[in-house]
Amino acid sequence: MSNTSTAEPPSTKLRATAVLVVVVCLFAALLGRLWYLQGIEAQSLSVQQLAGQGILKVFLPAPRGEIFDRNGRLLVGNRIEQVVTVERDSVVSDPGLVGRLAALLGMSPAQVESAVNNLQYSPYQPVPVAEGVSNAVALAVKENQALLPGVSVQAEPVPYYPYGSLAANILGYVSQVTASEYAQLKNVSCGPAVGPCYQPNSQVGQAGVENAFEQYLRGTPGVEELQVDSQGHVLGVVPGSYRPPVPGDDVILSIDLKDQQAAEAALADWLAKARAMVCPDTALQGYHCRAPAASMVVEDPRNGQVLALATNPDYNPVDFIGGISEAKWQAYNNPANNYPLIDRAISTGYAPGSTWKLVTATAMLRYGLRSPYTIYDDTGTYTIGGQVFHDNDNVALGPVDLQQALAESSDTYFYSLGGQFYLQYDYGHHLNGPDPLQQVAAQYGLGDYSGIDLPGEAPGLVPTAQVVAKEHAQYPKAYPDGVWEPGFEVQEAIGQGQDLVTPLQLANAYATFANGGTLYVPQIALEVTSPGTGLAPGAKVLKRFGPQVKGHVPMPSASGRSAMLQGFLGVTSSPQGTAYGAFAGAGFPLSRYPVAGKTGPAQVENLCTTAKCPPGYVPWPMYKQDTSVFTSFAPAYHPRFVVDAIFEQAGYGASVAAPAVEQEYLTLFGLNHQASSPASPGGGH
Amino acid sequence: MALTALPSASAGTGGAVARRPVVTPLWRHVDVLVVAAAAALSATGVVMVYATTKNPLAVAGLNPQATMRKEALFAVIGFGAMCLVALVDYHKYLSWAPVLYAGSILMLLATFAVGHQTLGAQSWIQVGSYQVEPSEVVKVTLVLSLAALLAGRKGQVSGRMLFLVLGLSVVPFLLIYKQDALGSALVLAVVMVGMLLLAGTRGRHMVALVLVAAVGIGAVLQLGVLKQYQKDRLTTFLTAPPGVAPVNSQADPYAATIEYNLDQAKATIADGGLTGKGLFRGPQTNLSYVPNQSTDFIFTAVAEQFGFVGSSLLLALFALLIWRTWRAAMLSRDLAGTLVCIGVLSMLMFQVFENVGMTMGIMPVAGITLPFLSYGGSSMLVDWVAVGLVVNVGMRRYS
Repeated sequence: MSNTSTAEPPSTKLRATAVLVVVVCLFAALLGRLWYLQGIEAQSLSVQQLAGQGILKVFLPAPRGEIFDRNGRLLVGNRIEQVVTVERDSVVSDPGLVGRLAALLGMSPAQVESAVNNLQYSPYQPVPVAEGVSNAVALAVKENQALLPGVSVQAEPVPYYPYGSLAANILGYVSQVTASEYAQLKNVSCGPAVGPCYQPNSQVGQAGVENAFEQYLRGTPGVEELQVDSQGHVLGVVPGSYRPPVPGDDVILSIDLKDQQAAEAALADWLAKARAMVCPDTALQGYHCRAPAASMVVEDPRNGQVLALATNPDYNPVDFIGGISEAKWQAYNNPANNYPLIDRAISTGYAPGSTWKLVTATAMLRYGLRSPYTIYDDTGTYTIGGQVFHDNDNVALGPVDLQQALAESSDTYFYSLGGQFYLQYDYGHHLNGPDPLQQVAAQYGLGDYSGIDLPGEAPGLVPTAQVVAKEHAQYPKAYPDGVWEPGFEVQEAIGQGQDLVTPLQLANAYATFANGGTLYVPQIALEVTSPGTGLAPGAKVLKRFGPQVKGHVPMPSASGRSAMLQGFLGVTSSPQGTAYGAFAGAGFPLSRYPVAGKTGPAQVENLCTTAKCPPGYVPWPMYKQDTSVFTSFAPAYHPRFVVDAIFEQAGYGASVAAPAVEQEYLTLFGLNHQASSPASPGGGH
Repeated sequence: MALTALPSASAGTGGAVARRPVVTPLWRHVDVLVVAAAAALSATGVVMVYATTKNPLAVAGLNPQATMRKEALFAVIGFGAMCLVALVDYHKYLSWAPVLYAGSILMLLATFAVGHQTLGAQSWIQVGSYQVEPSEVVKVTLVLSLAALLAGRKGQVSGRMLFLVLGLSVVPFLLIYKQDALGSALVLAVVMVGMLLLAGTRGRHMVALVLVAAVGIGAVLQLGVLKQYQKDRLTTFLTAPPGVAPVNSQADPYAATIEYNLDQAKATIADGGLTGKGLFRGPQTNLSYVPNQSTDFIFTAVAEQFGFVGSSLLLALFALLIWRTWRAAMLSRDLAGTLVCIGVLSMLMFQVFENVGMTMGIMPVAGITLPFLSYGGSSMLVDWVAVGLVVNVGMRRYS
């Protein structure tokens, strides 16, 4: 091909056609890809997931179920409060809003600012700024919408405690779920339509019934789907996505409001009196009782229903609404305040003292160590293996039978039983399992969880040869002797060993004796009913909790049981009885309502009076005074109530715990003169 | 300057009957289809810009129509610019080419002194309250410059000429590449190749050019001239299947952004399905899930709201525009007009293919606008000016 100056542009047509071909090819490629994406890929799951990413599911908390006493009196309710909320976007786009809002609510701008920045709340929902505002403020917000963009007033359910801190230990409290709780709860499902029951800011029952019956009380959260853009701005609600929250179910307790009030009052009264009195202590005289804490249990022995469960000091669940303040939380956990968050009625094990003699007497009769009429000469001391055990008050009662030994609290009578049990069942076969004493204790439900439907129960302790051996293996220094010594058995026979019982276990053991040998699981809840009905007529009962039998204690012969009963009756009625002063002496109508009882001054520690303390002895002021224990049931022949009380560091049972229980019986039997209602004697339960 | 001032060439003077010279007004030869296609595309762009910007603006408490109104204003100004460009014979522009070329190079240089950065690219000059993008302007000035140069030697592209053309193109290419606006730089390369092809460059020169380009691209990728994020942009489309989470999100946050952008874009297109979700009813578009949707990724808004049917119609409008541009090139009375039209055609075709292709994951992500649709005044004006040149050549085909 030669180049000439006049040549036409070579093959322009051809080249232009090539360009057109390229253009057609490129458009064909685009169309092909477009068809692939929109015709085929459109159905793929990954694309559909990506396409649904603008939907945000918001959970609307459900009002919790309410809690009632056995007569339908409201104990925990839901009050509707007016809450002023603001949208974070509005605060960002209108810097003056914080100031105007603060002025309206009577808060400082800094307070409003910190409320808006509270990370507890979802960034997609309005943030609460002020709760429980008055109608006037709510109205002002609505009338000044132009000045307050993004601010609104919403109704919000808030727990409501008509009786304040009453029964706080039973009811528990509600607070925001903690991170570790949420890790466990996040997989709990409220059904396919709603999804998870819990969100990181959900309220959850933290103690007591609120915790134990959380699954009924929590309700089902509502859901709403919001359209959220890629920056997190809420653009609207997905139509038809709203599902209203379903309130939680109500729980009806076995607790009787009046009995609970009386029990708490009795504890408060007698703690105050104990602190004012010179403490009748085994080892230390001349000091006032410290009496830091006490608890009381009222149980129906016929079915295990708990009528009152009081503990002092107590806390106020109101403090936990909307999150407890740091200062209050510190105060509740300060040892100086005696740990008000602990429910001593179920969570604290105490040395049972002489109340343990129920176990020893039952074992004695069953294993035929003595007949009820065998006379034992109480000389005030008992000696075994060279070890001398003194009677609590060092008084020689002289010849006593079982009835007298129980009524007048003869320690030597029972020391000697402990010695007998040791010699017959323990000596020479140290690890052969629980001996009769420990077996009977276990049958009465001691040393094991009672199974009450409340969280945080303690198991108590019944020491055995195995327990001693195990403790020695674990802590050889603290427990140098891993062998079950005769002294252990002797101490155990009067409830002074390492035995620990909770007030509830003690009441339940006496309830078992009182009803003729049936060990019930104590119960606090009777029914779960549909929301909003309580015990109103037509309430729909969703679940009923009947009495639950845990076991049976074979009762001694009729004569043996009668002797024990007479011994317990003598405690309150015989002039030599340890609680005579609190009952017969105080004019309690024992002829109409015979009370069978048992005092138990439980020595907790050995007082050290020398300059150098031997091991196991504690100098004042670290020394703990005796525990005042009293347990009882009434009316003795057809028992309807078991009542016990344990006062820490309050001396003999007769001095504080017994009169506190007597005070409770006045209410239980409707004898309280302050009660204006014309309750028929003995009626009401 | 009236459109009727210049007489058109008579179709022929043979025959017995004496004829009056036929004076057809120039505007009678205006290709209505080109203008209609461009106008329809602009109108679609304005609506799409509204669809993609109204919600973010509303959320920010601004007028939801603010951006759309600007875009509409640019479309109107663009239409006016097109008319003005069409009025003056394109040969005049060719004679002004050196000045226009020098001016646009100066503007490119100015961006380094007073430029603004967007998305890693330093390519804006602030003029009053507007930002001008010189890399858009230089597309047109390069078309005019190359046309002026190549039309001078009819069909003869000597080696010297070839180097001259390459040199003229490489200067703005490098300047734009230096601003990290790789996409715009590639437009220049394609424009150059297209015009060289139609100017009659010898086959072996073309082959050599393509080989050099291929080797050059390979070297650029291998020798670390590109920044990592640029490489990721270019290769992301090869590695990421649709809807899959970013692969190397730890390596470079910007790369993760590109992958995210691409995943969202593809999902949004797929979301449209056959007939689309309907105007203003695309959830991905309404919730702003596609980054840069009003600019580089505006095709996804069309695809989601109008589906395969609507997207195909949009592509058909572009095809119409490009076909009429090719036709104008063929009908041009001289090589200069042909080259101007082919330059514009190359520019439009590459931008459409690269832009739509990248949103669908068959082309690398290289910041490039979709003509007439992407939000941006410079782009809209330059696109209309380009159409003005095509109209200009077409209506003077008989002159």
